[in-house]
Amino acid sequence: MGLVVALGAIVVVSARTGTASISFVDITKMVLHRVPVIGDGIIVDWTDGSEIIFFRIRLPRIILALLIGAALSVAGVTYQALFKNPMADPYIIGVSSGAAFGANLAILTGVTVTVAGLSSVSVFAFFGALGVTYLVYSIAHIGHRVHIETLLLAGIAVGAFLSAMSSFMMYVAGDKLHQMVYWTMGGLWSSTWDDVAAVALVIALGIAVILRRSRNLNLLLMGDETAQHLGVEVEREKKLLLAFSSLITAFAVSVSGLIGFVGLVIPHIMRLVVGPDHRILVPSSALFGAIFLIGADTVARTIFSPTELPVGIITAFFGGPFFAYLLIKRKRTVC
Amino acid sequence: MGLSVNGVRAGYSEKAILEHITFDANQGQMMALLGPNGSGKTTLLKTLSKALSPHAGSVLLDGAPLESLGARDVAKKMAVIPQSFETSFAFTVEEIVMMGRSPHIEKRETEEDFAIVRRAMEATNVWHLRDTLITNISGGERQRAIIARALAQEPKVLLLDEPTSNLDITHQIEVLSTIHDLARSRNLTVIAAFHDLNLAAKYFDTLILLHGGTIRAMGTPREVLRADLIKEVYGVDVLVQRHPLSDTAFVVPLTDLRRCNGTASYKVHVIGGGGSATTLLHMLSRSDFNISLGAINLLDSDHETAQALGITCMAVESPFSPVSDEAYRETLALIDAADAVVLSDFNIGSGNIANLRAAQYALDRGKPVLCYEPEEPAGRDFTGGEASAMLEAMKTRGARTFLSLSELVHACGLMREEQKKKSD
Repeated sequence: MGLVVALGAIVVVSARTGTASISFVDITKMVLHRVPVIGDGIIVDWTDGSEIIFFRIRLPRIILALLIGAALSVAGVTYQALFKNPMADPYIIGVSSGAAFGANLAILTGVTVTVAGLSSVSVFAFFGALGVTYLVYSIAHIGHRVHIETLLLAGIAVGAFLSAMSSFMMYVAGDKLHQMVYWTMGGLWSSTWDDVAAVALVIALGIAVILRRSRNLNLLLMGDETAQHLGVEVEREKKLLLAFSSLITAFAVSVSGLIGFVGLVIPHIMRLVVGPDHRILVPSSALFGAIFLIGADTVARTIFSPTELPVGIITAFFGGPFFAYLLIKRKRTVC
Repeated sequence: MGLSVNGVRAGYSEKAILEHITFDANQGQMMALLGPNGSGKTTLLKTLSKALSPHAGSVLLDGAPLESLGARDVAKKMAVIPQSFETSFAFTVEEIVMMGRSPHIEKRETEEDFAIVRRAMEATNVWHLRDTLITNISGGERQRAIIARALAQEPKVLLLDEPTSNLDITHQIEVLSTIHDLARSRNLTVIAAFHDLNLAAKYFDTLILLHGGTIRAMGTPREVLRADLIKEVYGVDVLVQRHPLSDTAFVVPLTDLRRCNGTASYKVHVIGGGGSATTLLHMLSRSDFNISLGAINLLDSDHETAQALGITCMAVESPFSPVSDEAYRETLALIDAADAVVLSDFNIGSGNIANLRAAQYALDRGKPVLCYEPEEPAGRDFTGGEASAMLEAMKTRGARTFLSLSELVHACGLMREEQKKKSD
């Protein structure tokens, strides 16, 4: 599909674009050089600086953007189907407030806990996100059923409480305030291979699981009872989808902060383009989410070069008007 | 073997809504669940569809207990058509119908799946809408698409929850005929919750009447649709007759007779029929009498006139049928409530001679009886003289005859004034 080609193209363009320009030729050669057998025939004629920038800085960052863009978009699609509400996004049940709470706590206390090469901010954000999801889920879990409306309301309740805690921490943060604000805006600066390694497996697995269940997502869209009558074990399916979409969201925010807009609007955009069938919608959202975030991140790090903008600003700045344009030109209805 | 229900007790919480529900629905059988709101129809359907687990008892689908089957196994054998279906997600009609194949599909849909979907859509006449979005079609078309989706499941049992309650009369009949034909041609077991007793009687061979969460009656439409049962369960008076055209049971709600007794002005009960009372009804109505009518057949032009004039107190008989005991009793009740009884020059045969007996009853009760008789009654007597003799007898007991309608109505007016003076 065209999206795969587009993804390849944006990876390459993004790789050569930056404060220090690296040519396509050099990139190609650097990559081939690392491939066994072929690599031996490549003459090293680039600077060490280029190699470090490409392999240590840009490539992990691009791959991370790819993973996070895909994760947030797929989580967004899943939440929208589960809630049967096109306004749902990956942060709807409080993941964002939990992650922000965790991150702020780590920044404020200055604790140093590193797990698998992740910074303590990431670790705290991750557990904050998962903790809130679990708490909200427990509240909405009555009998052996998950009540989707209660889930939504519990998310608002818990989210409001944690936001208050976060605001309080920001208020008393002093000179650590800007770090907290930066984190909530979301960004991919200082991404490392460790970050990629920490999240890649789970995000890939989560997306694969949701992809495999995309037919059931279609059926869930028809309402719980109809889905059951068409052969879906509704409660089990909801729990599974909720678990995996929350998990990939938690992993994504732990390394990138709160990148807004992607999870809400990429699914919408793709629905306008390919229709509501999740067997197409899920993979195309994953691809387009990846493309979008790589692109946005490239802009974020180059537009005011050498200073960087938080990527969350770019996603909303370009995504908003683009979405509005599609709404005006839409062929199929929005939701 | 379709569906077998044994001693089911069920409800949403600990409190049971259904008790002691036991019945078998065999292949090819069309069963309607009737009962007022809150009688447990929907709860029973939910229990049958495994949306609700029973507190006690069991539901067997094709011999296997529902609890032992996964959602997918159930969906292969049983399809459910909801009351209405709304989605804001823009799937095409064919995509929606293809969802019915989900329980059968392992990975991708095969040529066979597409063929089954096409046949289902052709059977419900929505194939031409296959590429239209489900959000852009009418309610009747959407309901037919949902029936197609259910058929695509290739079920043995079809459950329907008031499948036509949101449709207009044309679409109700269209949808029910479709279901009826499909049930016959595919030997389906159909169980449907239903509000409309007459539609249920027309299309279903077995009726189950639910009352307070238990089965009050079960059997053929004739066995279940009895005035006493309906009075007990729904609390309304009805007449049950055979439909003149289709020979099915036909339920006609009766007006609440108590309401007729409440108003103050002068009440005139009219006995007519065959259009003979049409002018009379108009004149009485114009003179502001409180009019009742009966016994009268549905579809009679006098009945239609009365309806057009807003006359609600009527003892009604089904079309082209003789006056039944029930309608006769209704008529007597209306006469009891009336101040005077007026007879038009209707034709009298064995079917409606009961109306003359009703007039005699009025005389027995001391009510004034006024007969419009422009000609000798022998010309409209089809009883071999019996009716003429009865009329003659009535005249000797004080019944007055009038050659013109205006004189008759004038006489009624005089009686009204007299009564008014008395009460003042």
